[in-house]
Amino acid sequence: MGKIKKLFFYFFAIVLGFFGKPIFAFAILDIFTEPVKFIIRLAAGAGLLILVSFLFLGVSNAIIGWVTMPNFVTVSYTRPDNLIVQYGWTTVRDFTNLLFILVLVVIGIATALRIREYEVKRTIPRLIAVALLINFTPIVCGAIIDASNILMNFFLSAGSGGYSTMINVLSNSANILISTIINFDVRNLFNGVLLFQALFLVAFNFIAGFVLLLFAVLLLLRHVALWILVILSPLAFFCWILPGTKSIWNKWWNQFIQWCFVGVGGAFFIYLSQVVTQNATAGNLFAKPGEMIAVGSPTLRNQISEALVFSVPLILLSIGAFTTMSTSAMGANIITKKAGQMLNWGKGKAGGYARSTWQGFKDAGKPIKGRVEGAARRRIDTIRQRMEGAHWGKDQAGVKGKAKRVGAWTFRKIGEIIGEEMVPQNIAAKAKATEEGKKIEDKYTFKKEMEKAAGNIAKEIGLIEGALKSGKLKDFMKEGAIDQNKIDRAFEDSVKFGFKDSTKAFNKYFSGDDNVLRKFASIQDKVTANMTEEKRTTAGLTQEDVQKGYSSYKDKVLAESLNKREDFENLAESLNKMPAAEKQKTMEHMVDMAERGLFGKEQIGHAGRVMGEEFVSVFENRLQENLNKDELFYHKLDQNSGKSRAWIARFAATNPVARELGITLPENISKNLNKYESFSRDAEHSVRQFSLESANSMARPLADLNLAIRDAQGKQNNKDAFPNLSEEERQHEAVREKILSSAYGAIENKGIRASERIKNLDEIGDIIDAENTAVRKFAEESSARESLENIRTASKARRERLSHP
Amino acid sequence: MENSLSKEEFWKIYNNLPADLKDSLFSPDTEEVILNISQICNIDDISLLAKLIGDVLIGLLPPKEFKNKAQKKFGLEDANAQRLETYVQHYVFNPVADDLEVLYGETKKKEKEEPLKEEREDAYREIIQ
Repeated sequence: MGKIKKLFFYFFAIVLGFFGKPIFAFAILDIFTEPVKFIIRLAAGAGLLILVSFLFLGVSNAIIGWVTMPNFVTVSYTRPDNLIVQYGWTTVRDFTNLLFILVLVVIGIATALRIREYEVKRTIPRLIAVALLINFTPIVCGAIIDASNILMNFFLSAGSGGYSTMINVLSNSANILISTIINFDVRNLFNGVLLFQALFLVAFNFIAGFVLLLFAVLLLLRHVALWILVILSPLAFFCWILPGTKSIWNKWWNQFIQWCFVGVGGAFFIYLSQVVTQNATAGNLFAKPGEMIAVGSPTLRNQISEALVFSVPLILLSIGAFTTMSTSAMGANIITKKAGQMLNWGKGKAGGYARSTWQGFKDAGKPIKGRVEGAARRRIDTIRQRMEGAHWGKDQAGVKGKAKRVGAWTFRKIGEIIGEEMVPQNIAAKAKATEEGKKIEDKYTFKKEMEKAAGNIAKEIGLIEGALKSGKLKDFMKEGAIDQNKIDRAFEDSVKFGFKDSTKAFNKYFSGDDNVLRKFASIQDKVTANMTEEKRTTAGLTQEDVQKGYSSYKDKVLAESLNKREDFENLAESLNKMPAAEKQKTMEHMVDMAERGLFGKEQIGHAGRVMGEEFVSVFENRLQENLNKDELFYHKLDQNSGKSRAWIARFAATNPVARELGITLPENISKNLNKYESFSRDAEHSVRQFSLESANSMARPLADLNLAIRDAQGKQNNKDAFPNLSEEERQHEAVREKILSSAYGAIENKGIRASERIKNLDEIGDIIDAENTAVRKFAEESSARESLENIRTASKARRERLSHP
Repeated sequence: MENSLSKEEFWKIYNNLPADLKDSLFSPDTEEVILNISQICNIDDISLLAKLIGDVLIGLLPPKEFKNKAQKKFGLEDANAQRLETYVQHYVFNPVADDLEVLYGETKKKEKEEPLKEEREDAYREIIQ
């Protein structure tokens, strides 16, 4: 598929113009393939649904066949072989016999009191009848049960038994549907015959299966219900004697009849629907493939007419279901109620499916458009990056090299043009999606919106960014609405297409997660691999980032994303979900960043305020550790960044929390805080000035100094030529020492201001006097010394070039 | 440097403080105020000043006693002590005045007290004969 797609791509790229609108190549390609894929998926889904519906019907039929088998329950309803009934009934009967004496007393009293309804004349005949009948209730009950069983079994065992006849008809119809699909005629697709037949079969199978399953459960329950009713029958017959207890008899009788005939109604409709179908068809519901032709043809109309007629069995089955469900047999209503709930659930699901299918039809074009746009943009962007990164023939001389350079330049320009074309300019759309994403509360909506946005890069990024900003993304991830791969992809796109705000938002959100940051760094490297040197990253850092003092991607992310209190709160929330060791590591990293000048007092203050004791303790431990190693640690510049970290000592000295916790600085430092801080600031200033602005201005006086030294050395080396210069030599040596130490001190501690004063050798002595011991001690260890050495070397070289043109 | 609280005690107190007082304790503004006023009032021991302000903010030293204690500790003249109090009061304590009042259990005086009824002689009197 990949190769074929590539061929198509190049074909359309040539046809439409490679550098014009290459996106169309993919668009056209996917326009052809996506509908076919959609139809295949739809057909596969429909086939699967038909299969499942047949399976359901078959299982239901098997269950009802099993339940209605004569040997299913081997014990009878009323006979003594059923020990439960036997013992239960005997006990109830004996107990009821005891009650007869009580009834005789009641009748006697009622007669004496002239309560007409209870008088002997009315109640004695009933009493005698019941006293006799009570010993034969199983026979009475058995007769009624047998009658109902005969009726029900007649209906259920007709034909091949159960619902087998109808299943045969349905299977034949399914075969016709399959052969219609195999002998594919596009007209059947568009005139709706295939869809109609598939829907009809699925509906028939599910409704019939449901009704059969309902019967099976009811019949199973019927056994137990009738046993209980037979056991209670002596008591029920006894209740018939007195008017006051007659309602109990009525209730029993009603339940007994209901339970006996509960299955008859349903069985009758199953039978009826089978008889109707069997006799009205030639064994199948649908016309054969050859008979179906275009829309509006007489054959199709016949097909629809027949289908309407055959919907009668379906309706009959439904009536059977409703009849059964409307029974008021005690216990049966629980089953019917559950069945009703299942039906409603099924209706809900079917409705939902129908709605989503309809939505799917409506949105069918969107994914195609989105995927085309997304995929094409990504592919073209890869090409663009390669073109922008073209630097052939850089070091190659001659015509060939020149030709290569011209070619590379041309490619780079074309890449830039494509880049402008490619970058989704619709920042407003992304911002809108971000706002939408912020409002999404639940995973379902988020998932749905992401599916809708599939392929629309700006919208995808926007939705995720919204979830990042609302802080819900991790919840959505946990709930499975989005996975890390999708987030990585969105991050990649945000880097690729220059959505800087989004990239920052991603970094910020995951700033506490080292694993994700490592992945993001490698994505940055991948995306920028073919870009220009300035834009290219290594371990997520550009050259500019390195110059800023970042030594890892985490440095960059934390330094650029942690500014306000909320940023630290989000970070703390993220860290609280991580293992304690990881949390500790990140807090140590933050303190480390403060030492390297990447964090200021505001950030450390926020961190302390938000993370409290945990962070302050990390900060305090590090402070004591550093001061134990070197009491001037905080007043020396950071070796990598050249930045002052004196503020940390001041923070420790002036922050009320630090004071309350008794965090102490060495006495020398705490007494000379301002002085040391001033040295440190000057040193930082000097280094900055050296590196950025003043190298040339510093080079001149230093070059002069070097010249003087060289002259002195030259004279020293030529003692024979200048034998009287030994005194001068010593002087020069002394001067040299003075020059170097004062220059170090001046440059490192007084910066440019001092260096401007180094105009002649006479002034140097004054400068030296002005320096105190503490400054020199500090200066010797400062990184400014290295800068001075570099400049001295550079100026020496420059002077030499001037001396020997 | 006096340090009357253990770490555990401090964090226990800190964790029960209102959010604004916690903010103030960690605020770079508080630090700036301490630095500035130490220069204005010629206070060398900045750490001790920070400690005194911290004591007020965590409920160990009532704001009203801050001036006297600072004056004693730093040996300040009256004018300097007044300057220190005004400055710290304005920039550090006033923004969290409500929380401090609650912290020290002070009840706000009713700003609008009912004006005392002036006892006037009745202008009209029945003539008692």
